[in-house]
This record gives sequence, C-alpha cells and structure tokens, in this order.
Amino acid sequence: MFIFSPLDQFDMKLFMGFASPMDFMSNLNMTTFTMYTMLVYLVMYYMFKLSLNNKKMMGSQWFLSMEATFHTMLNMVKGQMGGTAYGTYVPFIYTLFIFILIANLMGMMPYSFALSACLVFMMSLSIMIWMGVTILGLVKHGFVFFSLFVPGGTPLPLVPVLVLIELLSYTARAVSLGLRLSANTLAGHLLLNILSSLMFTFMSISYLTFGMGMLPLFGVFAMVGLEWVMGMIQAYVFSILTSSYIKDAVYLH
Amino acid sequence: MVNVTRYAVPILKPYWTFFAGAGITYYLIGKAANASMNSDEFINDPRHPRFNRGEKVIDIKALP
Repeated sequence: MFIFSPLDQFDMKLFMGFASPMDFMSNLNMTTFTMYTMLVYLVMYYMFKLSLNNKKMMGSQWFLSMEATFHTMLNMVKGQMGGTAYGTYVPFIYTLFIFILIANLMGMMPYSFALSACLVFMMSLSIMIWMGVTILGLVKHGFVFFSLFVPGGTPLPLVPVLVLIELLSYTARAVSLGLRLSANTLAGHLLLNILSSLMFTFMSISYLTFGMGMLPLFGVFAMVGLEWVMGMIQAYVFSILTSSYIKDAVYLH
Repeated sequence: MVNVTRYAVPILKPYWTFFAGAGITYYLIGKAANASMNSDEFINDPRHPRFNRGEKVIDIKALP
C-alpha cells in the first residue's frame, strides 16, 4: 500500500543538474522552481507584449485590462504613500504584484507547482524588501530614521519600552511579509489536497457514498474558489504592505 | 526575432538599496543553506554536491 503525503506537491524535482568540483556551481541546478519561475516570467512578458495589439494606435480590450491593473496599483500606491515620491516606487510595487498574482494563479492549475508556497523564496523576497527599505530610510534620513520607533505624543518615561517594542515590531516585518504569503498558500494547497483525496476515497467506495458525497463535494469546490480569491488577495496584501513600509522609510511619520 | 526596446526608465538610481538588500540576503541565505546542508542530518544525503567531487560517506557516530 503506497501512502502519498499531501506534501509531495511541494517537492522540488531536479531536471538538470550541474556537477562541478566547485561548491557554488551546484546551485545552478534546473529544478521545478526554476521552471515555474521562467514560466511566470514568460507569461508576464507575453501578457504585456501581446496586449499591445501590434503597437496600433487603438488599444485592444486586452490592453485596456492591462492598463486597468496598472491604474489599480498606481492608485493604491498613491493612496498609501501620497506626497511627491510615490511615482518612483510604482513600477517596483506593480512588478511584485503581477509576479505574485501570476505565480499564485499558475499554482492553482491542477498538478501545478505553487511558487508562493516556497517558504525560503518568499522569506528571501521579504527580507530583501525589508533590508532595501531600511537602507533607503537610513540613506535618506540618517540617524533621524530612528525617530520612526518613537510614536508621536509618547510620554517620556514610556519611550525606552516603546522603542524596544517598535524595534521588535519593525524587525518582525522582514519575516511576517513573506511568511504570511507562503503560509497562506501552503496551508490552502495542503487543505485542498487533503480534502479532495478524502472526497475521492469516499466517493469511490460505492454508489451510495458517491451520491452522499455530492454535497460535501460542493464544499470542496467552494474551498477551491476561496483559494483562488486568497491567491489574488495575498498578492494585493503583499504589495500594499510593501508600499506602506516604503512610505514609512521615505516620509517617516 | 525578439524586438526589445530599451527605455530610459531609472532603475539603479531609485532602487540601488533593494539591489544591496538582495545581495546581503543572497549572502545570508546562502550561508544558512550551506550550514543546513553540512549539518549532521543532511551531510550523508545522496543529493549532497560533495559526492560529485568523489567524497565518501562520513560516519557521524565515529566523530569525536
């Protein structure tokens, strides 16, 4: 009897390995992760390129939908950051949003691989963003950047405790941003795998259980729909939080 | 043929801090990954790249 773990869907399979006497060359292996990242990149590239309608003067419906996603992000970043500096960071936030959205939507295809469920990848992305934002704040404001940890209107005796708490909360951002996305995706896909294998086993016992399983099956379909929505929401949440962190670094209070 | 046009969008000037953060993150995650790879749990895993260099299985129990 073979027992297949629900975690098998997140296994990295090696397609092409690079063996070398040097240690670091072995990191250039072609795995499922590499393949799906390239697929996401190809989808991103052709999604925008093909929507240009052969660079005609009149945009197509597809071009309009691409422009709508850009304007959504533009207005989101403008609402979050405001001021004069928001425009510089819109391309970055938009790229993050589109990448995570397409990765999540591709991960929802049956037998596909969920890129966002790779904890190391998402945590590395969030740590990179956090470090970039911190260096940006330090370069822009110098030591005045540390005034971010003192909320306005704090009584003086409370300042040492509050600074420690704010510092901890700020440091936790590095981890929470990526962990939120990957934990949601991992848990969602795991749940879908477990529920659907449960339903398959139950409904394949007899005609009676097949009929009985129809109602819970709609529950599983609802969970699948919820996972689609969660994938899109998580991409939006990641972008909105990134823009909020950039706002904190650029404008402080 | 792929026709790619290069536009004068500033990339390095506004985003150099994120590139620096990426470099630091790459270094730190690489260090963590190597430490995990060479820990007692995974040192004898058949996928370890040291076996490509002809190294042999290490007897962990025999180590001091």
